[in-house]
Amino acid sequence: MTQSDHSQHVKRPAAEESHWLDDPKIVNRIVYGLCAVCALLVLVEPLVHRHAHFEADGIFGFNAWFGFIVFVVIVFSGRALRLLVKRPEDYYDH
Amino acid sequence: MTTSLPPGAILLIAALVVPFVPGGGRGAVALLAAAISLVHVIALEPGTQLSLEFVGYQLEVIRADRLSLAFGYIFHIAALLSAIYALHVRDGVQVSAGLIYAGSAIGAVFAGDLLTLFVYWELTAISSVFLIWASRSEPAYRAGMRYLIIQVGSGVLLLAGSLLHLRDTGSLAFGQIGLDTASPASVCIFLAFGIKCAFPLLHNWLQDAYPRATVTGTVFLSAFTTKLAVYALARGFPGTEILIPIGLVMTLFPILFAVIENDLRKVLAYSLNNQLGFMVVGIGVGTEMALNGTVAHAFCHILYKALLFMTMGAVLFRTGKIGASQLGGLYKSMPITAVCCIVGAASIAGFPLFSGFISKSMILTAVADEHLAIIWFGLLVASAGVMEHSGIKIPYFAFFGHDSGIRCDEAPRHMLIAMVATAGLCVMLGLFPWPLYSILPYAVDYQPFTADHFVTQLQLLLFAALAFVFLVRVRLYPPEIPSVNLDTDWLYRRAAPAAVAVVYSVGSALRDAMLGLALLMVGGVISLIREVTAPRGLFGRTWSTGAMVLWAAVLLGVYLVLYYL
Repeated sequence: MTQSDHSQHVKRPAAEESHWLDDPKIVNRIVYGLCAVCALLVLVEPLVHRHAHFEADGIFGFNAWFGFIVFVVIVFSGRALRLLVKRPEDYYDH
Repeated sequence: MTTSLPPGAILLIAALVVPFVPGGGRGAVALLAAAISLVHVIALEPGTQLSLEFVGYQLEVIRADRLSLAFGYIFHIAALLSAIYALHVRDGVQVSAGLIYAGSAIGAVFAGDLLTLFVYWELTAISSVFLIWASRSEPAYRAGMRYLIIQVGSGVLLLAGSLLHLRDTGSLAFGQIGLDTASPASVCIFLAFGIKCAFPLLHNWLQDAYPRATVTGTVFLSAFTTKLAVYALARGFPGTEILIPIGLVMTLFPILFAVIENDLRKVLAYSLNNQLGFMVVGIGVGTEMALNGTVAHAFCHILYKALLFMTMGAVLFRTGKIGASQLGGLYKSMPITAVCCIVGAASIAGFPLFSGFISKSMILTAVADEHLAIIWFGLLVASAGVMEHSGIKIPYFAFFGHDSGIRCDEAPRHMLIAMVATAGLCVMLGLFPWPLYSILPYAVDYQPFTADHFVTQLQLLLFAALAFVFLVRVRLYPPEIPSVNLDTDWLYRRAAPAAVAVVYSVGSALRDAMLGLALLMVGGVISLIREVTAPRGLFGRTWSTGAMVLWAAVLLGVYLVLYYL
C-alpha cells in the first residue's frame, strides 16, 4: 500500500521520550518471566486433578511440549508453504 | 412491541431513511436503528411465529426459537458495536449497505421457511458487496465482483435446492434437512451453505474480498455472512458426520497461510476461516453439548473477531498501512488500541478468563465425549495455530516488534468506545459465561473453570508463546515479506483465464488452418476451371471434325447397348 490520504496522520516527533519496551533489559525480563511461568505450570501439574480424555494427553506435561512442538512445526510448515505459493506483490496486477 | 414486524426489519427501514439524512447524522441513524431493533428482538419470546400465505404456499417470516434467538442477539450486538465504530462514516452507500446487510442477516436467522431464507440470503450478498466496493479502488472493484458472483451463486444453489425440496416433500419449511447424497435437493442446499461457510476449496472469496473492504466495512462483514451459514448448517444439518472432517480441515489449512500472510486483515480472514472450522466440527458432532458449544463459540467469536478487525481497521485508518512488514511499534502511538488488540488476541487464543476459553472448550469436550481422538488432537493443533497467527502475530507485528518509526494519533474516540466496549464484553464473557450459557439452545451442563482446564490450556498457550520467543531469538521465525500467496483464487484468477486463452488460441489456430485449407481448395477448383476453359484448354480449344464424329459414334453405341439391356 502506498502513502495514501491517511498519511497526514503520520508524524515523527523530532525528540521523543524512550518507551519502556525499547529497553532490552525490560524485554529480557519479560522473556525470563515467561520462562518462569512456563516452568511453574509444569511443576503444579501433579497437584492438579487431571482427567485426560485419551491416553496420550494424560502423559506428564503433555500440553506443554505439544504446544511448543506444534508451534515450531507450524512455523516451519509455513516457511515450506511459502516456497510453493509466494509470488511478487503485483502478481495479479498484470 | 409488535410481533408482526420481522426482526431486522427496523434496520432495513432505517437503510431507506439514511439517504435523506444529512451526512453527519447518518451514523447516528444507524446506531439508533440498531438499538431499537435490539430492544425489539429482546422482547421476542421463544415460540413466537408469524406465517403468511404467498401464492398458495405457507411462508413463516418469523420463527423465534432458542437457536434463532441466540444468533439474533449476537447479530444485534455486532450491528450495534459496528455502528458505533462506523459513526464517522458519511458515505450514504456504506451506511445503508451496512444496515441492509445486518438487517437481512438478522431476518435470515428468523426465517422459518426456505423461500424467506433465500430472499434474505441473497440480500446479504448484494448489500455486503457495497461495503467492498466502497473502497472505490480497482482491486476492490474486481474482488467485489468475484465475491458477488460466488455469493449469488450460493443463493442460486439454495433456491434450486429449495424448489427441489418442495417437489420432494411438498413443504418449504426450513428444519432439519440432513445430507442425503441421493437427494439433489439436500446436496444443493448443503453446498449453498458450504460456500457461505467457506468450506475448504470453497473458501477463498473470504480471504480475497474481506481485506479489500473499507475500514468499517470489514468489521460488518466479519460478523454476519459466515455466521449466518453456521446458523443455517446448525439448523439444517446437525449431526451430519461429513462436517467433522470438513471442519477439521478448515481449522488446519488456514493456519499455514496465516503464518506467511503479510496483510494483517488477510491474516484475520484466514483466522476467521479457522474459527469457523471449530463450529463446523461442533455441528457435525451434533450432540447437545456440541451444538451448545457451536452457538457459544459463534457468539464469542463474533465479538473477538470484530474487535480484532476494529483494531486493525484503526491502524489502517491512522497509518494507511496494513502490511506486517510496514508496521511495528505502534503501541507508542495507539496504546488503547494495542490493549484492545491484546484482549481480542487473548480471547481468540482461549486464554483463561477471556471469552474463547469458555466456548471453544465446549466443542473440544463434546468431541472428546464422542471419543473422536484424531479430531480432538487435530483441534488441539489448530488451537496452537490460533495462538500463532491471532494470539501473537497480529498484536506483535502491528504494535510491537520492529519499530517502523510511524507515529500517529490514537484511534478516533468513537472507534475507541466501540473497541473498549467489545473488549469489555470479551472479558465479561470470560469471567461470567453463565448469561451466555443460559441463552444456548439446550440446557448447559458444563463447568469451564476447573484447575485441570486452567493448567492444560495455559501450558498449551504459554509454551507456544515460548516457542515463538525462541524462534525469534534464534532468528528462525520467517520474516514478514511483502508478497502475494497463491490460494484457490489462483484457479479462477489465473488458471481459468489461462485455460480460456489456450482454448481460444488453439481454436483460432484451428479456424485459421481450416480457412486456409478451404481457400486453397476453392483456389484449386477455380484454377482447374480456368485451365479447362482456357483457349487451349479441354473445353476451350477447337476440336477436329473426326474427333467429333468419333465421340458421336461412341455416344450412339453406348445408347444402343443401354437400350438392349
